[in-house]
Amino acid sequence: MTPDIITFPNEKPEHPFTLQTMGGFMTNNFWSYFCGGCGYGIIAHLFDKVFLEQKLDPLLHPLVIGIGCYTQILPLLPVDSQRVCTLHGRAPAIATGIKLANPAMKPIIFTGDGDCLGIGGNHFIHLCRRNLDCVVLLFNNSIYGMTGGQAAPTTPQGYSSMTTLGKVFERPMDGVKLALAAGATYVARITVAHPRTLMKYMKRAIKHAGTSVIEIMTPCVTYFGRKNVNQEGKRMDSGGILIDWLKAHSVWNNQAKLLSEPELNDKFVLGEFKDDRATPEYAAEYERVKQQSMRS
Amino acid sequence: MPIMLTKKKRSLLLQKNRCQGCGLCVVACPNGVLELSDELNMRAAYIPRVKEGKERSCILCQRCEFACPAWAIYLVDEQPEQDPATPASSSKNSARKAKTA
Amino acid sequence: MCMANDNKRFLPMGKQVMMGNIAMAEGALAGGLNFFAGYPITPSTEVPEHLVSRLPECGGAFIQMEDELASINAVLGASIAGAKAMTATSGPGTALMAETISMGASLEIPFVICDVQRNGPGTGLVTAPHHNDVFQCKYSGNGEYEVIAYAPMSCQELYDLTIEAFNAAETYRCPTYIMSDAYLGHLHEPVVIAAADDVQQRVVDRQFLDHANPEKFTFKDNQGNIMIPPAPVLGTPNFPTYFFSQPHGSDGIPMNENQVIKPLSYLLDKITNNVEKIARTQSYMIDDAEIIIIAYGLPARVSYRVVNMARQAGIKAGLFRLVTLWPFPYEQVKQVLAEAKAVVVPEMNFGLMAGEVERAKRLDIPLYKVPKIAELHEPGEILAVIKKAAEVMA
Repeated sequence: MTPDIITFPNEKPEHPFTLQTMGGFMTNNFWSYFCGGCGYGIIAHLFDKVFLEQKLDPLLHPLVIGIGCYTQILPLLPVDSQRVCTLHGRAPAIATGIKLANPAMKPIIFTGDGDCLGIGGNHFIHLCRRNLDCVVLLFNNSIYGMTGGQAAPTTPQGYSSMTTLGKVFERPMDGVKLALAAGATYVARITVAHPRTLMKYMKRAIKHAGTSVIEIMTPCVTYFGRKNVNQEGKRMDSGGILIDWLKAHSVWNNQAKLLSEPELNDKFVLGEFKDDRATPEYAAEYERVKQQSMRS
Repeated sequence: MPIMLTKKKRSLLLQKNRCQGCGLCVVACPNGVLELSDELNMRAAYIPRVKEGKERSCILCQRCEFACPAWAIYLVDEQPEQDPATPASSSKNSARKAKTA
Repeated sequence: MCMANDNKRFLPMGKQVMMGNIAMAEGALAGGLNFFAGYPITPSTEVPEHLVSRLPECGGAFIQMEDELASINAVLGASIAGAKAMTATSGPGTALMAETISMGASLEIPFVICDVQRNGPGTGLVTAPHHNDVFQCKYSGNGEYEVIAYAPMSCQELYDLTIEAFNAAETYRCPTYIMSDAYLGHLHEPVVIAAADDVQQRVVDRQFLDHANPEKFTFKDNQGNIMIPPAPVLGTPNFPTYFFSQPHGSDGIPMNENQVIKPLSYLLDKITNNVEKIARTQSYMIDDAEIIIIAYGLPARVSYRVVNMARQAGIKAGLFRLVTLWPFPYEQVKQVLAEAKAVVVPEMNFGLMAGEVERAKRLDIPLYKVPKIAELHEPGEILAVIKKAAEVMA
């Protein structure tokens, strides 16, 4: 994110949210460094729509952003929002500190598959275990995009990456299953090809008191797509083909119940997996402990 | 010079120079209204255009708007000479669009 | 925001016998501590165990995190959100925290780390003191930045210097350390607690502004002075557009490669330009001393006795004690050693700070190291070295 901003002449009328983003505010134009076909532009649009239309208080919803390609989403986020960029993998721990220092806040964590499930796996597990009131948006593009396409903990078997000789033979991990096992109380998975459902889940997650984890499957055209082929043998180096692959490999959770294990092997299961409103939330419980301590 | 589909009170607008030529809008459209053309924009990307004979097939579903990573294609209200600071698709307009569509 | 319940925050005025770690924890509370995140590690575990009940009483928050990395990140997050935050650990924990300390230095976030040093490397003898972190505290994180490190030598100083450390962290917005050790942390000594009003007057509070300051990070004003503005607080209007640990201007916007030398130099200059204000030292009988002992921490305490013993034996010895290890007072040490004939540096390590002393002393006087590993010096050991130095001089 250097100030060398490349924008092209734009036409009227402008996209509804451009001038309300940080980059649009500074340049009166759209400013994004994402590759053509990357899902983060879509996610930014949908997040802005939810943030602005729900009129979330920017001072109470800090955005805690990890390290990855999505760190470049900063110019696309609402200009009023307060954005904290963290170190690789440490966003859940920083959000814990923020939440306990100011319990009125609800941090929204932007993290990726390598950031959250790789280096930050431990912090993610304990964040879900504590059921701290925050929203985790886990962008899963099955690759380490920012550093040039290395294999991620979520890269599926049989696909290529820059750090695998041949195809990946390690088994991938499932972020939703990890979140459920660790105790997150609202868990969902969706892709960027389902925008209205994504917005619905985001709204539910923001209203939910407890740790909400939404895993968003996004395409990485430049690395995952370009290095791999789909079932027909076509290289997935363009956005449309990769989105088709994503949709072909997704199955809704009520349909997944009818499928057998081997059929589910290489598919992502979409839908809401848990919506538990009864489990007490960490900061609220700690407030009670604090009040009792102060009185005695 | 945006592509315009005049349809009831709303139109489809493409910011030609913002498009990155990814083709997600083409895939997202339920009626197959769009296709990638041979026209190159200032980013040297092939931009989409409306297919021959599909001009009246757009149902204003906004799927292309939600699929575009570059915020280049979106629905606008009828008059294109509006002040760019006015947001085109506020939720009020969306509700109205649902009634008219 | 964590509201301070000041009724219970301050201990009653008077004298109490306290353990070192407890004195440090109480000093932190007196200094305004609002948030503690830690991980148990010998020999610092008493600090979180004491604060688990004291912090909620004062309206603060305590959390035991899953490891030291999470602890220091939670401390950073809490400090960003406006709380005065601290963690307590030992050598292995400080090693784990390195990356985050570097981020804290880059974004000028105030926080305090209590390093109750133990023997190393590796796991080491966990209950043995070993001042092996005196360089780690300054150089562990990547990148170049300055830190402030205090080296107390008694429980009273653990209480008082911790309050100073919080003030220094708020004023200079850099990582601040309290370098204790396994012996000092478990020493039980009487500590004089000042009246609550006196303490509160000394404390530098975090500023919560209701408007956005144009400058949020260290900058140079028109006269060329380095100015450190109040720390931006998340949740208030005073928060930068970009909050990313890349070299940035005073508004937080990252800069190009050809521009970053200036803001990065401010991270160093804001401390090195203020060495006279930050560095604290103590002198004992150095006016006419020929052999000067330079020491810090518990060996300094022994050295007071050694100076007396040496004077009785007819040797003109003196002690120059470093109360702050970093920033190192090179100019002051140079002046103190200007007329000296030898310098003796007893340390509970193989001679780490002796290297810094060597940089400041005259080339023609000898420097004698007195290393002691995993134990504290006996006065006789240091006296023997002084006697040897005196013989060589004669």
